[in-house]
Amino acid sequence: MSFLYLVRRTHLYLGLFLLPWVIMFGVSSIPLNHNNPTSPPAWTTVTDVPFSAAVPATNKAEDLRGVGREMMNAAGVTGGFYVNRPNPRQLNVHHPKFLGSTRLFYYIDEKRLVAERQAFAPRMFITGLHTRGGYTLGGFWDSMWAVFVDLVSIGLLLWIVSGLIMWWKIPGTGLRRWGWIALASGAVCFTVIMLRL
Amino acid sequence: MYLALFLTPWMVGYATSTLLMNHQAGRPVVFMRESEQPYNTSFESGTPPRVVAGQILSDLDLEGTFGVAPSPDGKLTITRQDIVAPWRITFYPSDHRLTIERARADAVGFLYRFHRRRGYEPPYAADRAMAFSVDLVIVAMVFWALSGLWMWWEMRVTRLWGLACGVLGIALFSFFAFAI
Repeated sequence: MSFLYLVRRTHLYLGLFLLPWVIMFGVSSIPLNHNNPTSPPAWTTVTDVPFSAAVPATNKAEDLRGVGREMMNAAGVTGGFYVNRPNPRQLNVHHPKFLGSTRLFYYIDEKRLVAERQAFAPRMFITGLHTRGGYTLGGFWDSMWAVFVDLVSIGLLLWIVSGLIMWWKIPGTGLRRWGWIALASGAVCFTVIMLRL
Repeated sequence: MYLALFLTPWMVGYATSTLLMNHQAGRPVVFMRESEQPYNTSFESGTPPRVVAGQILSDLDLEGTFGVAPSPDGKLTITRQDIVAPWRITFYPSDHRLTIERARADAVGFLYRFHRRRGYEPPYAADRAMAFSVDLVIVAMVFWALSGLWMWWEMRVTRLWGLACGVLGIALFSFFAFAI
């Protein structure tokens, strides 16, 4: 097995495996780059129950995750979540989900927990796929999604390197010359745009 | 191939910035004071903050995409976007004074700003060129995916393993899209 053979096969099979992510990152960039104002998605109350939990006297998200987990359990929601405290009397939890997120509000003084479910919105679904990432949500499958985001990023770098190798190995000076022109003109355009932005 | 070679800097930028963002590598921007100067232009009360900010940037020869945050005490904080090193200009109308600060340039901050820069709203040529390049990357990614599929199908010897990789990828992606 030659080096070039390995490069070609890695380029191909990795591309086929990660094809849905590549198409998704491409297509989901359209609504982000063409930002037409849309009405915010509707939220429906699905739970409104008495609830009581000890809340640490802090605004640090990492210290609030314990009570955040209690809120998730009380509302019967599983998976990763963000938690924040917008004011001393309220704790918010956001559980992102591509098909419709859930948000929880703990009104501390009222000892009351409210859960709301977001209606499915195609735009939110597509942009959610694009913007979701990171290992801080705490859910197992959320972290696995982050692993795939890493894999796609590394895949992109591998496709660039393997693409350059395959271009360089193509016989004939014409293709190489035009390739140099494409590479150089891209670098010049990129530099000029960055310096002007 | 030529499109890929042309877009190499963009793809390197998007791949590395995605890795950084996925690992929360970003840090708050640190602004360093560049100068302080008197500013005697007066504005009628009720002038919209964006109009005031636009005039200040024009007077400083710093026209470009910006954000503005007025304070209750009348202070106006203008953040002039710059992908390498953003500016922060603070206008103190009661003192007729401006402070001009600039962010320390750093690679991580640059990559974050590069990844997030998009849209045709700003009326400046560089912003429009960037938005156009983002559209070009979108078209290229879809084109590479479809042309890759066609090239794979043309190579009979790779069909079986290629199909296995493709089906596994689609199955995993579908699971994530519907389950989390």
